Amino acid sequence: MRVPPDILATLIKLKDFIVFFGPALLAAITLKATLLTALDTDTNPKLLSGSIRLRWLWWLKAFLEAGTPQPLTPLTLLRTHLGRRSLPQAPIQPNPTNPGFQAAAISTSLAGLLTALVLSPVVLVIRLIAGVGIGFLLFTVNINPNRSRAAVTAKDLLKRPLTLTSTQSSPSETDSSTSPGPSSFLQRFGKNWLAEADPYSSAGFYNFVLAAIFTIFVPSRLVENALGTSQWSGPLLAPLLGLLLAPVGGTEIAMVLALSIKGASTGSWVAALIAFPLITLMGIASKWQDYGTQQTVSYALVVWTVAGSVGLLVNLLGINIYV
Amino acid sequence: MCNSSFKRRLNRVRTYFVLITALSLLLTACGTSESEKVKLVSEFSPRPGYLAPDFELKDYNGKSVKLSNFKGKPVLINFWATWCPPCRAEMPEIQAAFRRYAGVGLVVLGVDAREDESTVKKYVEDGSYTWIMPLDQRGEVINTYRVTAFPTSFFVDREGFIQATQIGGMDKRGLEERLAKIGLG
Repeated sequence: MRVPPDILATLIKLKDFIVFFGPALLAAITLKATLLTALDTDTNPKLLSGSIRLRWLWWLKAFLEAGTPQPLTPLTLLRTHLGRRSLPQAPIQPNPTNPGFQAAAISTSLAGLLTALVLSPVVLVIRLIAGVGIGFLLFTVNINPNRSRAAVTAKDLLKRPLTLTSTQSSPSETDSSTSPGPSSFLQRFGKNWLAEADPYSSAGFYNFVLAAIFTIFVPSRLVENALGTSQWSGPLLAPLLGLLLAPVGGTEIAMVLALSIKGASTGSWVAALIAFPLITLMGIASKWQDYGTQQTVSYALVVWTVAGSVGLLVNLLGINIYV
Repeated sequence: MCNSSFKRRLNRVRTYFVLITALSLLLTACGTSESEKVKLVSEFSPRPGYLAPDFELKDYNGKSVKLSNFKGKPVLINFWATWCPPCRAEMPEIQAAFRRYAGVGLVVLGVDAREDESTVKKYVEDGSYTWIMPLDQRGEVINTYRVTAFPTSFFVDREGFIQATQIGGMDKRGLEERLAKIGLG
């Protein structure tokens, strides 16, 4: 049986993306697992004491955990949605799931920053500034956490006792937090590493496959005509191309590189870089479940506006970041 | 419950890593990188350090293409074919490099191996590739350059010396490294 050359070409491109960004993702996963293990409250009870001096460590852990949301599939979303209708609401978890906090955490996650660094240090700086900016704006415009079904404001968080529950833990994992878990540092590190690697291995693989397909099958002229240097509207359109991606920060970088290869202007792929981890169909659906339609639209508009504006600015100033 | 979830997760991660590793090993047929500086020899031979053998072919529009006409410009000679998957995989990267360096004179000659005009024209136009595509329908240039696998690339500097070669496909990094040897980047 002869495999069509385009299929093999796509696999080769997939390999290229994995080789190019894989080490940065592995480093990010390992670093994050190490930090989370070091900040583990089960073995570091000082963190639970509520001391003001240690509060920043608590925030650091919450920030790290919020940076990798559990990847969602349409099936899990439907199941959760149906479950919400028929079952009583779960009590609000004392997690900083405020959309501003989470958006900033995803944008400036270790994986997002390290993969951006693979492209260029300037890209890392842009991602950092834009991520913080989006987080700040979402706080400012107040994606009304009071009316939301699950969100907690920063103010609420400060009032609550400092107990930690992972934002990404499934019910089975939540059960495990009460049962005796692995005790040695290495065992806990291994558990954290796997918990981190899990979304990256599945969602990352999916995102890289999409990027490889895009690189091989989409003609350059289409991208150049829509997002090229001659199109001022490119930075406004580019964020929409990430809708099909899985919302795991850092793994969208392959699609950003694919856009750059296919002839998108610098502003367009910078806008994509900022928006891709935050505006995906799965991510939006999850937000819609938690915050309702109006607030989800506000969230998407804020992200899209910031990403588009930064992209337009990059094009306007003629910044040519080497990628 | 915890253990089964942990094991499931472990298995899933393990499966992906095995898949990725196997894929990487299978597809890493991209040759080796050349870091040493080549000694220049003023003889024509398809080897690094030698002058690139001249050739004249026609592109799919019937227009004549002669290598020596591009003296003074850095040239990438890329031997390829539409049936070759690694050639297809590296073409978007070549297009990106061509777009980037065309302003400083980069010339890319994509020498197609033994295919007819319509096949090449359709593939090139579908993919929006904009560099020059001469057709070596009788395989003479392929023999001159001793091309045994596709794609094979020769990086020729402004003086006409071959500074680097590559047997097999190139990723972004590999292409940039070799273009740097002919004074780009």
